[in-house]
Amino acid sequence: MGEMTWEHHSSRDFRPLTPDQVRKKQFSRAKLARRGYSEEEVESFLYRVADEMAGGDKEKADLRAEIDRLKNWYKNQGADVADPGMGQPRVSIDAVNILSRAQQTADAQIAEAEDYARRLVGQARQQYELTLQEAQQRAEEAAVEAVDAYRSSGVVQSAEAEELESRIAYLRTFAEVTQVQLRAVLEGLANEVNKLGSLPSRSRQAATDPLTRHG
Amino acid sequence: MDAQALKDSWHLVARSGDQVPLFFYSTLFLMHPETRDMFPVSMAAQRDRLVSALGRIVSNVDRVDEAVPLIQQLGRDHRKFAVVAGHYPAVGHALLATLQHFLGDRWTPALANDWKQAYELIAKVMIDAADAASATSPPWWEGEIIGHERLTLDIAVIRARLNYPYPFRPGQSASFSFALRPRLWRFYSFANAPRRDNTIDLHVRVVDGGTVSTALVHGVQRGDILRVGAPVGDRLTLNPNLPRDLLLIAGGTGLAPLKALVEQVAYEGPTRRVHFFVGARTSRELYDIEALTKLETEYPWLSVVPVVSHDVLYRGERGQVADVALRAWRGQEVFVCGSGEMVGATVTRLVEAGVPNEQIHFDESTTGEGKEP
Repeated sequence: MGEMTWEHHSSRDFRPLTPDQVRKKQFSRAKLARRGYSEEEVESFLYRVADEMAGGDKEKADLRAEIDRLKNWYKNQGADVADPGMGQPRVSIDAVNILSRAQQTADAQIAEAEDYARRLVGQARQQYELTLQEAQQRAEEAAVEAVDAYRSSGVVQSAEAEELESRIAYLRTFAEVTQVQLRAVLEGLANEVNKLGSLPSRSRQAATDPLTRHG
Repeated sequence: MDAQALKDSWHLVARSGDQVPLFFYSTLFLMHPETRDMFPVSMAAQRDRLVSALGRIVSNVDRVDEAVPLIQQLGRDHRKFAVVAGHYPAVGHALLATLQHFLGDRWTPALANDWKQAYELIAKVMIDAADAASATSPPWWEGEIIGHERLTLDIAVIRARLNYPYPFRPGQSASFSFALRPRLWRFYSFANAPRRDNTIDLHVRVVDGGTVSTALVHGVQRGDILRVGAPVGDRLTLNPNLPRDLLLIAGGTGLAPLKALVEQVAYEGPTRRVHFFVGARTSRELYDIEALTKLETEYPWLSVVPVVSHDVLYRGERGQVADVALRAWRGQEVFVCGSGEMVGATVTRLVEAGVPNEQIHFDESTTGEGKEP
């Protein structure tokens, strides 16, 4: 540690991807019996790429604004540049109010989106509880059936084997009923919620403008 | 400086409610567009915070001994937002313009001068406190995520290694932020006692519709960086001079800070009997029970009892965790952590059962999206 000064310590919040990393990205193999990449992984990676590109675009926009400010500053050299003290440059109240209204609209829409997500996840959770209960019931039934089938199969019967047979049937059914359904639902929701809370970037807005869309 | 004039004018302005911070921030962003980026997209929560902070400061303006520590704390805490001395004049501009706008004819040169002086004083105290803090600690710590494990569909345990020594006490929490959710900070408790390798554990549950918790559970991955603010809170910390036995009552991810206490007893002593009651709705939500059971086998003074409230098929203890825990109460210090609802109900039960107030330590689980600085 020793003589650290923190004033000039400002590291980036994240490590930017390099084109090389994108090219060399290794995806882990999907589960047995499924060929191809893990979709979830590919998708989340693509999201990150997109996020990072958006971040780059934003940074460029900020730099352009900075260049603009510097140009103006040079233009105004010799003119009376307001010092950043406590003197009060006037701001148009109309402008303040327009900005306030825009902010309020944004706040409202974000709150609405979050609320929507909350209800959606809440419903999913209920659905999940129901599915589980149903799966437990179905599994119980399957276990009973398995024992019956075993008893009528004419094999020499032992209590342990019966118990085992019943457990296997229970577990198999339970797993089948729950797994696929729940995972799909929850991950879909997680992705939706993930999209909230990030600013729509200028570039994305531009992309939806028919004039700038490239065929 | 006329303290009464400041108070009176503030009360007048504060009557306009949300309009005031709305106007203030719009003015700030128009005068100094470069400051917009320091704030999240939605400003709703931010506006509330500004008004309550200003209100607290103004109402204490004539009680310097009360106001100064508050303002110093504010100044230190603002370091994590990358606020620098150069930002203060911009805020001063916007504040004066806002007061002028809302006070109309009452805005006299004398009052303007009072506010200007008061603001400059506050800014100076904040800047000095931040500067003093910068001699001993970074504006924020950075932790690289080295472990991210989803233990249930909506609970993840995250381990991060911090870049500088991080002095905290078990039972404390800190605010966290990360690149996926820029400029949003949320509090989480440490689930461990300080370690030599400078790693920390967090237990995060997805809050329905919560942007930050969802990103932490489903979005971040190993290698990502967490920003960590200074450690805060002492409601769940142990008093080293009072080596009484402990009764710990956890709901859901509220077990995190209590697990940190168990580790503290294990690492530092003094040894005491610890009864740890871990509540969950279903057995599936006993996400950390494996690790706790391992601790239990390791330490003879520790007993861990999982309690499940909504799971008819569960074979262990069933019911409300408070009721089960109370059966084991023999005058121990009691620590409670869980959702707001769970903590409220548990503390009520404890008091009814005759546990003295001063022996009940509780705090709401810091996994809520609503927990903001």
